[in-house]
Amino acid sequence: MKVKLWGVRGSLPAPLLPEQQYQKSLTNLKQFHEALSTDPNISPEKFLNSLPSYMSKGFGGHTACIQVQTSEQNIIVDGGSGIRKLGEVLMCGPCGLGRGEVHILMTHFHWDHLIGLPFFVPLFIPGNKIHIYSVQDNAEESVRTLFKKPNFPVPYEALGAEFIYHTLEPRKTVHFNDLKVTPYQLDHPDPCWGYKFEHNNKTFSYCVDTEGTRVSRKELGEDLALYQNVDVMVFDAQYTFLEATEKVNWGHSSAPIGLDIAMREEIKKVYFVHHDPAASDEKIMIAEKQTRDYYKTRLKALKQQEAEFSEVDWEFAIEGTEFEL
Amino acid sequence: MKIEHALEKENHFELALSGSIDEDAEFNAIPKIQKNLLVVDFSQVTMINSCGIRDWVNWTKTLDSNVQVHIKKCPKFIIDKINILKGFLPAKSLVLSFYTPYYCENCDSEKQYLFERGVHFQEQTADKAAFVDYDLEVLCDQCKTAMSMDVITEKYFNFLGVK
Ligand SMILES: [Zn+2]
Ligand SMILES: [Zn+2]
Ligand SMILES: [Zn+2]
Repeated sequence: MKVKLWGVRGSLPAPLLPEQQYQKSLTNLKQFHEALSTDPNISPEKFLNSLPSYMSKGFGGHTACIQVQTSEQNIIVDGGSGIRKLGEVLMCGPCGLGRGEVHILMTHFHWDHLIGLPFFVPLFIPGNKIHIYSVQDNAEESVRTLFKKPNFPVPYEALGAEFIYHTLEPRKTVHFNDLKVTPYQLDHPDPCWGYKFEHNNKTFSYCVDTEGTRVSRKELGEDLALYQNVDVMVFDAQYTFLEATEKVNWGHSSAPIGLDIAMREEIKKVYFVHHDPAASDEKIMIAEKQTRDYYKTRLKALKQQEAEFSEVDWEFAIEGTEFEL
Repeated sequence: MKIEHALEKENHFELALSGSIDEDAEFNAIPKIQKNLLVVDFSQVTMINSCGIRDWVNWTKTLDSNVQVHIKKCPKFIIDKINILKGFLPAKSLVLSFYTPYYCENCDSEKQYLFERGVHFQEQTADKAAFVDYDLEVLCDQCKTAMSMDVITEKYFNFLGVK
């Protein structure tokens, strides 16, 4: 199974501002200048590729949208602004010919998970079929709202594609060819459902948006399965840990909470996403450093206690991240 | 986490916690604090993770605003959290005592020495600078050699307001 993160920003698209772009270029150019003094033959590409990707590229500004692919199935989760670019890619295939069948799973209907849909070109092509899945039973109403006049010039009825809505049952597995998908409830208002994907004995969990208020196995109850026997997890880390302790009931979490879950449940890899739109790349880097300090402290304590534990590989994801499992 | 004791004394409420403070910690099992002073003993706490910190912070927010929190016998990892996490303790809280690690260069032993407020340290106040007894002589239990403080002092004593 292949996964691509088309949007990793939370709440509101947050493009790099011209001044931020300038500062990023300036910092990188200064460093390149320094690098040249030790290696006069270093190429600009080699230098940029030696930097952490958030320094060379930034974390990205598009909101929630991911793509999960197997040889037989292609599934999109959420229609945040990241879906626009994915739409362009799909238009090169059957969607461009009006023969596409698109499957979109919705976690919930907050704007940041929905606003990309009016710019998802396959919707405008007659003949395409757009399947929308959600545990909530009001998906059609939310989608129609997007295209209401005077908020959008093309009314819902005039969209070329055919929409088919499917209501999912909580915690009940659905088979999409060779891919199994099960929705589990997250800790987020209005409410929100994460998805567990299983394919060829590999498991991927998408846990966005969530505050992660329920962490203990007892509190999680029947939603614990979302975090168990998981190879890769994508988790909501909108805030730094300090911010999250202040923003109680805001519906978003921080990386140390995700790490606590991952360490206990032996999740192998975690990508932290839903970065705060108010956070600059530098601020996200600070949150990452604080998380690194926290993780190191936890590992040290576990080693001292001679406790059994498995290490977790984790990172703050940038837009466009792809992984295979 | 275990509640070792939760006792209502004449002038204060005394609480002693032990074990790991993590997502399984049940702070709501602690009886309502009816006194104006709560003294929490952390000496038997072995670990705190981020879920535990969050639960502790949320629990302290449920205390009546007139309850002052004093904490004592804090292991180093609790002091580390106080230093990096504004909000770990409610406003007007006091640290009564905490452990400072010492190291013996002669025989590699380590020791946790209890620093007590008014004796080994004093936090900064409006009219007084913070104080830490950096010159305290701590002898190794094994070889009786003078041990050295095993912390980055500017970081570790930061919560006292040391310059
Ligand atoms: Zn969101
Ligand atoms: Zn949301
Ligand atoms: Zn010694």
